[in-house]
Amino acid sequence: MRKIRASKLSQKTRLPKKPRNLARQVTLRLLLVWGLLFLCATGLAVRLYHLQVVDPVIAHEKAPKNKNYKAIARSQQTANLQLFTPRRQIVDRNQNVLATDRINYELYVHPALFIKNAKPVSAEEIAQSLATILKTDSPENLLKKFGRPGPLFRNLPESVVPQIRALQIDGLDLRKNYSRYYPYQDMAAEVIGYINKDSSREPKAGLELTQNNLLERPSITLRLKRSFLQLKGKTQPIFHPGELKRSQKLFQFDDLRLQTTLDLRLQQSAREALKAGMDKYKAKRGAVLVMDVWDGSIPILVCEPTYDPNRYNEYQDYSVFKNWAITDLYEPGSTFKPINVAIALEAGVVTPNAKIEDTGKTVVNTHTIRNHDYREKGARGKISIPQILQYSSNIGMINIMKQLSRPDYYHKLQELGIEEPLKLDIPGYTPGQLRDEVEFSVREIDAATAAFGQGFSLTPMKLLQLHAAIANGGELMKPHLVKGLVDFDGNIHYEIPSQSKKIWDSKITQTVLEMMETVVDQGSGKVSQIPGYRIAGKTGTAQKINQTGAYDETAKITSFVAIFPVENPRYAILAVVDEPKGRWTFGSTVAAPIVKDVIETIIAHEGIAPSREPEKN
Amino acid sequence: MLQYLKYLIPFINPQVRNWTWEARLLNWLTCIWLLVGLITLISASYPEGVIEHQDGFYILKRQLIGIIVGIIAFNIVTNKPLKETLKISPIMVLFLLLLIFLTTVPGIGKTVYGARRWIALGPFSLQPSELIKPFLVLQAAYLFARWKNLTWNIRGTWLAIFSLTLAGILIQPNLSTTALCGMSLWLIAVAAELPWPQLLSVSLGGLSVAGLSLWHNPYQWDRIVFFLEPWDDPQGKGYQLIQSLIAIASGGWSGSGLGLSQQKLSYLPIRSTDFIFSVYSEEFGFIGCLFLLLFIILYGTIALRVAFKSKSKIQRLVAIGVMVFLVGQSLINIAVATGSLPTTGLPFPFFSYGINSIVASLLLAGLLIRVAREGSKGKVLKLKIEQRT
Repeated sequence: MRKIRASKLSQKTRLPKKPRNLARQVTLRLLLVWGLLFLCATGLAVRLYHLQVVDPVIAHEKAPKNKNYKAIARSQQTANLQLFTPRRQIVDRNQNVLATDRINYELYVHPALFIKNAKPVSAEEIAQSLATILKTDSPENLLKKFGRPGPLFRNLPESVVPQIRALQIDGLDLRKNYSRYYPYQDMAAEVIGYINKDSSREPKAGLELTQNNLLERPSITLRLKRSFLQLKGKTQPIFHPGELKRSQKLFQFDDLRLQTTLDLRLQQSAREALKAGMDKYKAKRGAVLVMDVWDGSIPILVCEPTYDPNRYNEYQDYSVFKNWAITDLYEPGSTFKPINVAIALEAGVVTPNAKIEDTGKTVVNTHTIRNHDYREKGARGKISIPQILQYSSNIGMINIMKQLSRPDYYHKLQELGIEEPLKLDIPGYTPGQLRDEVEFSVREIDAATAAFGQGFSLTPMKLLQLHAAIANGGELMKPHLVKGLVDFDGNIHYEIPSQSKKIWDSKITQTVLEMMETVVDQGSGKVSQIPGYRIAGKTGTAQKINQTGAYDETAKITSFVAIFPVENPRYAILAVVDEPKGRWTFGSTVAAPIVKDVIETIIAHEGIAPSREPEKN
Repeated sequence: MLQYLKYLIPFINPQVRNWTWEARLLNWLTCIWLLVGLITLISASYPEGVIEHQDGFYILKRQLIGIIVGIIAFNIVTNKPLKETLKISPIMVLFLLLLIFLTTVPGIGKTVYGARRWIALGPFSLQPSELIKPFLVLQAAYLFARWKNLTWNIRGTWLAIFSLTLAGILIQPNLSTTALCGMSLWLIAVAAELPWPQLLSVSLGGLSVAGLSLWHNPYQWDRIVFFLEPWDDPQGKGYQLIQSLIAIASGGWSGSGLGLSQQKLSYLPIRSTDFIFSVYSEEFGFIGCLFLLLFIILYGTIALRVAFKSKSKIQRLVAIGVMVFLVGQSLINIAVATGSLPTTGLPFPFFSYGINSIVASLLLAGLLIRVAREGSKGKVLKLKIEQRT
């Protein structure tokens, strides 16, 4: 033992740097103190590594779930700001705004809280001041409304807001909202549709519904660094937009708008013409459709009755919401005759110059079929195809279509796509209905009625499409109402491509077109003549099927279809008026004048030059 | 006039090149510590200054006043022989003890955060519990170095004065400073080779007094152990610590960069004083923290080397005392910020804002450097030559 100690001591004395007089005890004590601090420092380094590098998820019931300190830091130091992104506008083809987002206000009243400058104010006084500002209700009326729950007014314009604020009354609460506004009210409702007024802003009809993905802008969420400031005892957040990431641009939305093919001016005139015609004959409903035969765009689509999308919630009759020109089927009647002529010519069963026997009356499968003017005119004898169209002869048509075998005829009708769904850019299109193929082939009566446009049904839109094919040389164009996305200068950014299918030879459609011109020049369509302009057309007066499935003798659907101008067809126009009242209600008297008005409007707005010198009477 | 100018020039006094290498190294390390602390303080206090004083550099300006005063004191202490400084220490201890008790007198003491620690002095305030630290080191060194040669009367008197000091700081209340001073005094005593039975009985006595106090006031215990589970009350008692932990953890490996702490903007309370380390660690990350810890340990190790080399026991104990106060206080501050010790208000030497704290820290550093200068016989000879010229 002693030896060992002695050796240790000697080692110590041999240490070169150690001061001579420093005892082993002193060294130990000093090292002990230093070592204690060193240990603490090492422990803290481990603790810091655990906090800063490992940073485990905090397991405590009051701590945020599954978060470590770094995640907690992120969530408390940043805030997500959801900015309101306005829905894109809808414009017509001349950039008139048909639908837009605008700011409006809801006014809430809390009569229990009516205080001005720390003094209570009577409800009567407030009703009086509100009435003078709003000018919609009498003070007494307002007073009654004060008690009701919910907002006193919705959709208050921004202009009244400063006046209401100037009253400086507690208990009047204005809340800012964004709402969809349709400046032209019902003028294009059947195409534009509407969106819900509530905060969901759910699109409900028309282009608003089908083009939702083009109309909705991507929502903007800003992730901003944030801190807080104590100001006058209130904690206020401070955002640090300077620290936004480059990918988060503040104004990343574009100025694109959805452009429709509609022409508001034409639409307005067409609606006026339709309304005037319907008023005259007290008709149940009506529609005017115009199609640009070269690209399938629809500059006019008017359905009556319609609705104001700004007040969609006030309508009791839900049928106003449907665009019946595309949703409802009807038997086209005589307006289908030119289509049948085109089918027969294309099949080669008749020549354009053929003479057809018109007996005025015939019996098919025990059914007696007459011409509409059989009583006055009787049998006409051999007449030409243009004459058949001019007189709208049912028997003549039956005799033309007889030449074609019934299965062939059926297949030709099918090829027109009557039964196929038309992919329109507004919702609700109903495909047409033909008879059963076997029935049609076996029974003569079905083919006979189909020859003059009865016994099957289609939508007015489909009929217009078929006539457009006559106008453009046999191309079945897909009708469309959306042109694409355009910017404020009208440059198109996204265009929906047009689609077409060849169904007839252009020589044949040219022949049919000229035949239809004679209808306006000399036949039942005389009403729609416009001096100096070449117009082709065809009237239609079809009986409606009543609820028992039989033809109703009193309910008629009158229509007129026109193609214009004949020398270089551009527009196909269809007017349909449902259930006009009175004795002289035919396509020629009810629908043709409407079409004439529409053509006159188009001529005026589009500046279409006359094709010949007007004849002098 | 020129001879007084040296008191104003910090660290680059022309005499420095004649100092021992330990003294020179400590001189420069103190300078670096001060500068890094100042830079961190600018970063930590700028947003607070902007919000509360409409001047981002408000706190920096006040801190600079402290630094000027502190450097004058530092230069005086480093240039004065330790023996002479020791002569004034008993008077200073007693004077500051009196001031400590004055802070508890209503009307004289200034209450901040529910504690009377300050005596208002115009736009500034005096914190005697901070300023007493260097003199406690001196007095404890003086007492424990000559412990064997002193009668129990003198021993008892000074122990009583120390106890009174601790009690005075405790009733402010300032538990953390009390604990720091108590532990430091005890560690100086350990270094002074006092017999273990005496040391242990004193420490047991201290601990039992503390235990008794806690047993008497259980709410204090709750407060003290809250640091173990700050999430029990994340919006209340645990808020400060949680925010500090979030700041430290946000630093990650390399930190967010100087000036880029997010937590200092509003979330972290008392960010320029007690929790300044949290701002530092958010901005410099784990690497920065490791460097800071290594730096502190390097400082402590050189202080230990100075203690080994010093000629007299008093010098040795002063060196150890300074090491315990500067290094120990830094480590306690880091431990508080990282949730390793109860949340108490103890400034980080040379980092935290506080004129009294910076003066006390510079005085302590000055004492250590003085000891280092006197450590080598040869160098002291040079000093004498210098004094002749």
